[in-house]
Amino acid sequence: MAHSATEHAHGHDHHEHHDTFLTKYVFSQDHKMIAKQFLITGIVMAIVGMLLSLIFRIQLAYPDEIFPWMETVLGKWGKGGKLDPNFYLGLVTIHGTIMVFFVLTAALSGTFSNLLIPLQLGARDMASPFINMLSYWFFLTSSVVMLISLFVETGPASGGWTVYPPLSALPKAMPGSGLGMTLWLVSMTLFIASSLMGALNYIATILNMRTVGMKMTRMPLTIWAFFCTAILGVLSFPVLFAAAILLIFDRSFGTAFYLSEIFIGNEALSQTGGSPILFQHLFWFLGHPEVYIILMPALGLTSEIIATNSRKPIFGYRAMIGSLLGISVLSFIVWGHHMFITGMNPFLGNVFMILTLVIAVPSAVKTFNYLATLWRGNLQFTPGMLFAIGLVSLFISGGLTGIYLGNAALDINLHDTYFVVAHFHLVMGSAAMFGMFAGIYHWYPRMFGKMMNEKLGYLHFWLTFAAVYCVFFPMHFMGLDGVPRRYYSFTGFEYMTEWVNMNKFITLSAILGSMAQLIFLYNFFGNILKGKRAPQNPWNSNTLEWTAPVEHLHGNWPGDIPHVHRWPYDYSRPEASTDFIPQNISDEGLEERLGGSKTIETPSHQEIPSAKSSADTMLFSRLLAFLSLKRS
Amino acid sequence: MAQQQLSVKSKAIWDGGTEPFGASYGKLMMWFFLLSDAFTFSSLLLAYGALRFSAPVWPDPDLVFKGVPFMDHANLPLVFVGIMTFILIMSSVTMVLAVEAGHRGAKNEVVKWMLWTILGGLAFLGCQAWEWTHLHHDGFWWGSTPSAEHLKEFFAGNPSQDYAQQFANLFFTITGFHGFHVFSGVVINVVILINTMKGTYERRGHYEMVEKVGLYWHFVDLVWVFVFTFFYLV
Amino acid sequence: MANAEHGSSMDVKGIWRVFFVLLLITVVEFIIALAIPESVMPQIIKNVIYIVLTILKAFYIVAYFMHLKFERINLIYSIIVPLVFIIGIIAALLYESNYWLNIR
Repeated sequence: MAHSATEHAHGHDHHEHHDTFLTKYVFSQDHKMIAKQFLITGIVMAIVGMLLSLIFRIQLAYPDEIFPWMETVLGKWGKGGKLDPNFYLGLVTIHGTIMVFFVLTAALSGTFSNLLIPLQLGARDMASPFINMLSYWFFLTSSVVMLISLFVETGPASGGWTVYPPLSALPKAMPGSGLGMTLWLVSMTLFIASSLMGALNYIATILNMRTVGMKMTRMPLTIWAFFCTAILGVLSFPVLFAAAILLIFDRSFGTAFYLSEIFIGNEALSQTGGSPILFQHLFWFLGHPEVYIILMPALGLTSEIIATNSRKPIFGYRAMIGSLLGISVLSFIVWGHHMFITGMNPFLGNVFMILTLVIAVPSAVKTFNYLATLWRGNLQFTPGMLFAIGLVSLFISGGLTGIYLGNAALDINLHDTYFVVAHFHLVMGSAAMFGMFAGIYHWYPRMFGKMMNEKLGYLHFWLTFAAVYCVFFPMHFMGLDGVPRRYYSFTGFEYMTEWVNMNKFITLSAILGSMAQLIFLYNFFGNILKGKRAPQNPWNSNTLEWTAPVEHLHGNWPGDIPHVHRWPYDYSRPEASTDFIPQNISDEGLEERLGGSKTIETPSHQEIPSAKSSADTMLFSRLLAFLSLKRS
Repeated sequence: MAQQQLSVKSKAIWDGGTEPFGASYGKLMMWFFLLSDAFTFSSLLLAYGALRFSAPVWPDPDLVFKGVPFMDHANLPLVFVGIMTFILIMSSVTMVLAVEAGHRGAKNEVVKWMLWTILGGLAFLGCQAWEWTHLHHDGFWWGSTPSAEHLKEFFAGNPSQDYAQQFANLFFTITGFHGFHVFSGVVINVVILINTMKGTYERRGHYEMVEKVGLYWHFVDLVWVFVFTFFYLV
Repeated sequence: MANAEHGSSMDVKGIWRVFFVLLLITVVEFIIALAIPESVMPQIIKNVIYIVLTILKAFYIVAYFMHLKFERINLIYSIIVPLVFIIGIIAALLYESNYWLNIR
């Protein structure tokens, strides 16, 4: 069985050079183009999700005001300038669905798995480029179906992104349970197919197509994260698929898998004998791994970016892999912590609580390893690095509240309050989003061959960072006060009225945060054509993707694929002349680079005692420098 | 070649540039797809298990599945499903024989055994159609059960409309989903058969496609083993 | 290419032997279901035997027909180990459904 990589190379030699617009940009089978397709579709979906959230945020801040533009924009859903309560629920549902599945699952791991797996492993392309293309087209179709459901006469699905029965199982339960819910299920079925095809491809590529010398323990942590993510996807999405099949039967064929003792207008429904909790079990068996499907790629990107920009080896490489694997295994046995107060057996609640709290261990390992990597590093504050550090911050502040919510007794008070909203928006939503931004800033030169504007990047980061904390941090206090999530208006209840002013603050922060994204969009799209040409290796990084030419080739490397001789984190090695040694440099090659002598040294800070103070002042001055956006 | 490396130095299989599982990417993708599909079927059977365990009464399979074609009012529990099981296992055997013939590169034998496999698949589907028709004739369907007086015939103890309904819903949904897998398996088998007859794999030099489709077909057989146990025996 | 690895593992005779094992297990299941009355062997014991025999059949299909027994140990583990999660959810849901029955 000769190297499949070389077989591949021959394969490409035969059918190249005849790219039409259609094969190059639309039905592309090149992993780099598919990555861009995923990214741009994801950005569009993210904008939609963000706009939906702004509409319901305005409703929450100004529940009694009349906004004539609401009727202009939303038509019958904003009649008389007031948001329709049913559409409010639809907005919340579709915002959640789009952000969780379409942006942070598909766009995040779709973009970076596709871009980085072949490039960082030294492969010409994915194992099966055709299935890779299908994966994108299923994703696009499901996105379109989901967007179409917004325009349905009876409104989009509105039972929350978790689509619990009976709201989702009975088409008459609420307006959104009709056609909107059906389209939701159709869209998700396509989405599951897309994610399955993508994940199978990532796993097969990572296992079979590593270049010579790329041992599993020499893979960058990004690849490890994508690997674990893909495994989680393969094992957990089918369970959602099964749950969706049963849900479809409940909706359309008169079955009662999830329905029991339902009364509609004092009349008992004939469908009975099922259990709505069954759906929750099946849903959360997907749903919890899904949280890590979202988060782990972001953590992987962060590991790589932090190590590169600290000019230090990642602290605890094997511990990082171990914690990724630990999180993956644990994520399958903790789903019950979403269901503590649904009427689940309380004994099971205990079991799930203990297992849930165990997840704090691998998460803490990751956090401390990030901090230890940053510690006394030669920090390069690129925009990507800032977002990566932002992720660590959000991961800590959101993760701590997870310990509260994982406790079955505390969850009685906190369940379905704004405390939960604050928790998952920080730890999963914003943190993963920051990971995605970090990845985009860091690998933009690789994707488009152009540089992004750094100053705009800093502006984007600080505004977003401030906005995220201003939006989500106050929600903790609302949640502790018992303010429930998904409520249409807070003026109807005496004890909640005191929070209306806080809601105004949150909404204004959210609007500010969205404005900041315009800077990003300008920076992103503007520089695709106008940007400065990217150098070969702009961040002096070790991984293989920076050895490929800036111009995209079908097949990634013009000649032979580079072989790998070392792990990806050889930064600031005291015996080396440069502070980084790319993975494709062999030990003999290293000596050649040094001109035959090993005496030339770039001392790392750890070696010289007096370097400590200078490093600290340097860090301080740099921090000051770009608080004022004047980086030297 | 990968095999030789393995015998020389077993650690080298993970060093990159090799296939650590000794399997091509296509076969790996098929295996992991089947793993994924196993989770789908497990979830469906789990839903069945949970709903059945939480039910105080349940129809007795010996009383429900007792019909045999061409024998009206027969009282032969399990006989017909025994025939179905036999057919599916048989078709699995012919599939392995096709794969085995593929290893030897014997094109005509591959064609022969693939034909038998397809025939077995079709026969199974036919049996399932009869089984469904029979149950439908008894009054079971999605959202409908036999009338109250007939219901007694299917329960060992007290009859219950609600749980007879749950049984019917689950039976038709899960065997339907399995039957859909058999059907798609037959379609894929036909495609592979046509490719074999056209000599595509002969030119390619190996019959790995037959092997991959074989994996899928055995998986369908495997699922049936579980469906059979949990619907007909337990 | 793949022949060298697979050729020796399953010959025609071996295939038929596995077939007869599967047939035998199924026949045993039928005998238990039809010939042994409830008084001799309670349903609960029968069910346990059925499940054990089913898993045995599954083993023969996966190991021999699907050829997993002759693959590398890595592949075997990567297919078998994830099934642990299914056992986990089975355990949880059996416990849970028993609880539903009690509060019904």
